Amino acid sequence: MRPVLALTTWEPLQHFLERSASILPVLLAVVVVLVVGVLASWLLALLTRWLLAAVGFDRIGRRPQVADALRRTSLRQTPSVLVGQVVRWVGVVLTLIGALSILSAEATDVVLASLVQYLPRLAAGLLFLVLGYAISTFAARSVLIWAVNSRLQGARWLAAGVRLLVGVFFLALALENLGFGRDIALVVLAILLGGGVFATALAFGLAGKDLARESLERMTREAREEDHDTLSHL
Amino acid sequence: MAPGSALREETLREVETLGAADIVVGIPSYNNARTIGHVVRAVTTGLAKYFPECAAVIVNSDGGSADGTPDVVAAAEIGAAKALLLRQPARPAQRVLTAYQGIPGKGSAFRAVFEIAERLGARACAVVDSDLRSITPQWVELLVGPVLHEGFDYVCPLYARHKYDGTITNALVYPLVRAVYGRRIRQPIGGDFGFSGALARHFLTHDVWDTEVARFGIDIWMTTTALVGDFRVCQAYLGAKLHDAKDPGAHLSAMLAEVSGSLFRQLEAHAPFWQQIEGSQPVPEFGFHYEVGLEPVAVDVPRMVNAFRHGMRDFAGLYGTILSPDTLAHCDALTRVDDDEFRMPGDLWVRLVYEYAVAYHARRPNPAHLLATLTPLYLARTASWVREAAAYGAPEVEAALDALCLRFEALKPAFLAAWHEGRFRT
Repeated sequence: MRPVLALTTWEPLQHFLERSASILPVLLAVVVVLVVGVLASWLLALLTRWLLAAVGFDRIGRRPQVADALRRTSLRQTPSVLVGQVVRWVGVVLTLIGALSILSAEATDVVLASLVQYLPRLAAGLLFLVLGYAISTFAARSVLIWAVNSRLQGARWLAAGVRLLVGVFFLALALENLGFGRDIALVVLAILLGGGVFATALAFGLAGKDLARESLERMTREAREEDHDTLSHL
Repeated sequence: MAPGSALREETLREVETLGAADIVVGIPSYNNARTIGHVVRAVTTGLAKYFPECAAVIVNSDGGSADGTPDVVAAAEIGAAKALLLRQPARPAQRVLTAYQGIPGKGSAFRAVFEIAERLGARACAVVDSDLRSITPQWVELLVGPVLHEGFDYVCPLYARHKYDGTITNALVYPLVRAVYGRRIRQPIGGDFGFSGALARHFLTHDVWDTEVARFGIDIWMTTTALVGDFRVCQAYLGAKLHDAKDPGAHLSAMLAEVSGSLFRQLEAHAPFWQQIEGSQPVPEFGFHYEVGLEPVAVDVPRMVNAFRHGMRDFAGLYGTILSPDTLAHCDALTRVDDDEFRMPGDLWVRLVYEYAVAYHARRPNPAHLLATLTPLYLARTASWVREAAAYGAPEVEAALDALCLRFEALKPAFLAAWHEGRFRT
């Protein structure tokens, strides 16, 4: 009975203990690398931030154009804090890769190769997002200004619609580049465009033609009233 | 890229055959067949009557009219000498009809006039609009005379205008030019100017003919260039200025953006010059002032106030990036004032103009968007002016404008500081 018990219980347990004993140092090393890496990243970020602040890097943020751009992107941090955060996250990613290399050199190679392969698409995706933000903001502003100066009602809604459409278009482009969610983005874009046109056609053509007429009259009334002035501005 | 000359080969040959001239009068045009005949007759008569001994050339610089404008210019005849009370035979003014080359616009048309004046060695020149209904022969004497007889280099016009007319000039251009450049030129963008041959040559030395100046803004460019070049400047009273009928409010926003943009661009170009200037000096004046019966002007003040309120609501985000918190708060408070009590104080308007000039200089936001957002604020100021000046006669109007200009001058040091810092602090 005893040999059987030893065979079925003790030996797998012994095997497990032996493997654990061999893995434990590796795991310990991974933990140490992670802790030290994250700490080092944090310290490096702090040092970068302090150094940049000391050399007056934050003055850039007080330049009107930069301050305006930061405000538009809802970034409330100073430039030195922003650079510090970038340094910290780069450090964290490098730490993770280092920890992975301890566990398996092959896995690290695969991950690194995938990352390197993915980088151009990631960059292109980010570029599309940045472009989309800039172009949608510019287009929305242009429409808003034109609508307000033409005395059209609902100028802000019109501008918000343009921003949404342009934004979703560039989001679809970015997602397609990144290789995921492209169908969802395209469907959303199609729904927004098609649905919007369809809803407008229905509203202005069938169900709400009276309302539509009133809206159009209200939208253009102010512009027509302007013609009564004989004031010469120049 | 603009060509090296605004003149075509055939025009150059025609000018060559003319040889020389004492006076050149330029009339830029584009589809002005309805009015240009009267302008040409007035100029021709003015030259014959007031400068009979001078060799004169009238230049019609046309932008490619499709309504037969050049034919009208060619066919326009001077009236009978007796009817015009001409006592001596006058040398008939030669005419040059040219379609200018370059970017379409008044600036390119003027460039052609400057080039012809230079080639003919003209001592005095004048330019007048082709859509004028109120031009008389005496305008030629008043624009050219100070140059030929008094040695001035640049003659700006002075007009009798309805108190509600010319609000962009009255509220923006005149006070800003006066405060910044230090000279009290009442109509810096009047459109009808006299200038010396030397100044025409000076204009041509500037490389601006492939910029916005070629399209619009030539008036303010000429005035500020003359001031910065230290040329002798004066103004002449021409009486009423009546244009061909136009749709006055149709393109207000675009017009305001063009005028304010041209002015702000000049401020940037001349910053080293005007930063040293304090206060303002009057400029010599010619002409006999007289009362003029002016056409009544209809203004819908509630519509203007309404446009301001809508603008404040819809441009809230943009105004946040352009204006200082204090100014924005003052404007915001105005939106809650009843229609009957609505007034934009002069101090607030002065501040707004300076903050826009600084925002333009700092490119915050992009210039096209910035200038287009000025319209609701300008309408608020115009509405306030209409209310304020309702009971004013001509002297009270000028006194009120003078007070506004003094506020511009008083705030100039703060403007200068903000110009360097990129924004007003409070």
